[in-house]
Amino acid sequence: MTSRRSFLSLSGTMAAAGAAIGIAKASAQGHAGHGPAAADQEPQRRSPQLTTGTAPSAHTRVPRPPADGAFRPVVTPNGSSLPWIMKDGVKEFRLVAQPVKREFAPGMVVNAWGYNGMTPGPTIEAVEGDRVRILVKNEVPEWTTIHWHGMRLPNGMDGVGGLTQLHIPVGKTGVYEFTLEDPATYMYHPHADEMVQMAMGLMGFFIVHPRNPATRAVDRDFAIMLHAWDVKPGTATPNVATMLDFNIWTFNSRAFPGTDILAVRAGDRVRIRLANLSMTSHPVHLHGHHMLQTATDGGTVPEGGRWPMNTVNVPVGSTVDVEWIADRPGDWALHCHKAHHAMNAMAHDLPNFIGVSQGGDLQRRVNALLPQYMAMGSSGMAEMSQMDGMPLPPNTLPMLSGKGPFGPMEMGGMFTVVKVREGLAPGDYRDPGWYRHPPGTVMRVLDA
Amino acid sequence: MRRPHLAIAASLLLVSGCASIGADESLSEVQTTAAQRLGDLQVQLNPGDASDAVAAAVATLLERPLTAEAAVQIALINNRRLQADYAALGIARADLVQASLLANPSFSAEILVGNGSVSPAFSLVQNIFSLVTLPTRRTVASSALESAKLELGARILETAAATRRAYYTALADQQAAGLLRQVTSASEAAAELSERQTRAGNLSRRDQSVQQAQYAQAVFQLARAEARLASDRERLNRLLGLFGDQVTWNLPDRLPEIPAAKPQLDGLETVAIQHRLDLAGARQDLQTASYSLDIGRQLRLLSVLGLGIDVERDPDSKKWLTGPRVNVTLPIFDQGQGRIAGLEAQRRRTDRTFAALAIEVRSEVRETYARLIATHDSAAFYRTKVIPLQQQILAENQRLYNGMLISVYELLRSRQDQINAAREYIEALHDYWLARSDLERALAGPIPITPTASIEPANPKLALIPGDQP
Ligand SMILES: [Cu+2]
Repeated sequence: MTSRRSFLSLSGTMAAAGAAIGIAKASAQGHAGHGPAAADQEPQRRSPQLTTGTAPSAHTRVPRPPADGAFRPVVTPNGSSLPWIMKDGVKEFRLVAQPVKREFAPGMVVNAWGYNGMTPGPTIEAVEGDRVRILVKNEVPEWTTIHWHGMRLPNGMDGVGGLTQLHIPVGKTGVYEFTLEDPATYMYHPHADEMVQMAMGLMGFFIVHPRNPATRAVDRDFAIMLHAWDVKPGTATPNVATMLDFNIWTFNSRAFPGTDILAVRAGDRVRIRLANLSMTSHPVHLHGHHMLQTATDGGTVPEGGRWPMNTVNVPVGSTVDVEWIADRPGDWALHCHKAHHAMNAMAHDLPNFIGVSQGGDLQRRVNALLPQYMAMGSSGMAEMSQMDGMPLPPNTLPMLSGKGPFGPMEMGGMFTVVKVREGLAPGDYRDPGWYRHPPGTVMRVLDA
Repeated sequence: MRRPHLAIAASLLLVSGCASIGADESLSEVQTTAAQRLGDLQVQLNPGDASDAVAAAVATLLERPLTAEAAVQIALINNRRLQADYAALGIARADLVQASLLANPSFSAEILVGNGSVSPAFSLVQNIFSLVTLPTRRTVASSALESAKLELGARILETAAATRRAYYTALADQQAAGLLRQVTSASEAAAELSERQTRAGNLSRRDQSVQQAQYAQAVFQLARAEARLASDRERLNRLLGLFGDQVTWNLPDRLPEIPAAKPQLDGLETVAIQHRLDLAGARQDLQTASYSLDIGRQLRLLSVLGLGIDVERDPDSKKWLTGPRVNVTLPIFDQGQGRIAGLEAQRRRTDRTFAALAIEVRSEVRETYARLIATHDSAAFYRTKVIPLQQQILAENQRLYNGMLISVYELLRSRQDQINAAREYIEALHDYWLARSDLERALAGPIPITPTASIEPANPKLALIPGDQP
């Protein structure tokens, strides 16, 4: 609450200027003033995240469209876009690489590294042909660089430490400047001690919009970064040496039930930009709709080359754009279909008790030694999602979690809900609540 | 805790009072000397007719869980070997009686026959040498009796110390066996779970055998612990003189915790020098040897001095002739050199023995004191650091189990680790009580505690971190 209030006071004037557009949460209202229009009015303003550097709220902050209508900004769920200032015809962005405390979901805060107080860093948005300058201040404890993943640019701006540039030392600022050549969904991330710095959360989107806003125009445009973390139960710092045994899987560095929902108006054309900097691929599955993959990080897929799908595989080190018409009102799950990626912390070497009775006298005898012991796993693991009262290690999310209108949702990690509703105002991203099903359209349970 | 013993001691006092009347004041002296050093417990070495009362007192003391003090009390009134040692005291006492008696006079008669006549002669001689040496012989004998009494007193204290040691060992082993029973029951649960898993097709026979083997190991360990406990109990039965129905006594559930205060070393050596009965006995032996040497020197030239009267009938006159008779040995060949040298060596020997024992006693006090402090620190460290840490590990493992982050097997193993830490604590506590018993034995009495005494741990690593709850 404190950080939100201080933020509101910082940006109060902006909030008054901005119409109530694009709000995912009431607390995000103050951010509505960000974006190019605001930047034009107050060129010296800096983003509040630049100055705080600690635990900003992880709520979705919907950017305002630029005054000149040059592009329709993307919404980064649980994140925001980066403001810029114009200097000599160059769009100047400022990134600060720094340690951040990121709440993955209520009950779990991670000691991560990020940009401008958040991981993923704020989404950079600009237009094909723009000249951009990006000042990268290094406040992490070791040198860093930024690689503009997927872009065609001068070799000396590619960001590979040692190969194409000097590393940015601790406390110093690196300056990148280049012209954006091709519209697409790109990423930025360090190319210096890459394994560690990405494992700690240094990453972000770089969206290059087409010069003509009408090209591939959609009503709602979301950007979701897929990532994997190894934060052992009871700890808060990612284990940077892990190669395979990750236990937290995130959309924009949030794990369900910490992921914000995606509010969509029925009939909208929707784009979701997915990017993957983890070390395994993620087949992301959308319920109730057919999607088309319309772009890769190499650019737009020609219309004749798109094919319908429900699940789009996002390969490692890639971005994928999918589009669909949200013509089915309801609460539709959107999640990685690797079942373990839609769960939170769990052990993978547990003994298998499926179909094994652990009850009777045995439970009593074990309770004599361990009064809090409860046999688990005999019939499955669903009972886990119902054990609210049992204490877990600190800073640890239950393996299965989330409460829906019909009961436990038994999910975690890379999971969220797309809420398709009739009559949402354009730019209204607030949670509309649970879907009200028309009578007779919900599954019934028979007695036998 | 003390009250019932006092009552029992009082009732025994009446009994022993009757029993000792006329029997032996040296017994009550020994008993008093020992009792003073044992916190006023009752010592009863000659139950005689009072044996029924003793049996009743023992039965009363065995009714409740046995304390260390009650065990010692029982040994002091019921240990048959101590009673036998008391009987041996009678030998020294008899020597004293013997030493108080005069040598008997000697009478000789002779009859000479010849030349048709018979001439009888009689002489009566009293060796007055024994009369002269009577007081010195008495002194030597009563000094020897004194030694014997002190030796018996020391043996009483030894028995008390051995009883205390045996008591704490039995109690520690009983507690350890109880903890091992819990370990076994955890292993048993794990083995049964694994058996059920295997029957359901969820666990390989190999993995199941591993659980089974751990259970078997635990069963074996428990059996060994129980055998050890049985032999501990028998050692106590011997010291307490128990047999038959008496051997079914109970111990409390746990060893007493360490007291907060630690004793100071200052003055402890002096206490030991003053109170140790074996040391007093050695001093008495030296005394006895000195007396013996003195007598030996006084009488080195003289071994027989007889005065008497001779009566003889003169064969010619047929008259009875009477006259005095002196009987003296002439120190021509034997001037007692060997005997004196032996007595001198004996004196030197007792003197050196006494000096050696004094040095040993002082060292023993310092050693057992150091052990007491070290074991005190270790036990406190275990209680305030290791045990809470193990409890915390278990609590965290329970949380991990709740989140399905570890298995029930790991949880049970964690419980076993915690129990094993408790066993190690029992060992540390056992070491402390043994050290305490040994220091009491070294001091021949209770350890004086200055209430304000605060001794830093000898090993700084065992210093408790500030903020710890001792
Ligand atoms: Cu996945």
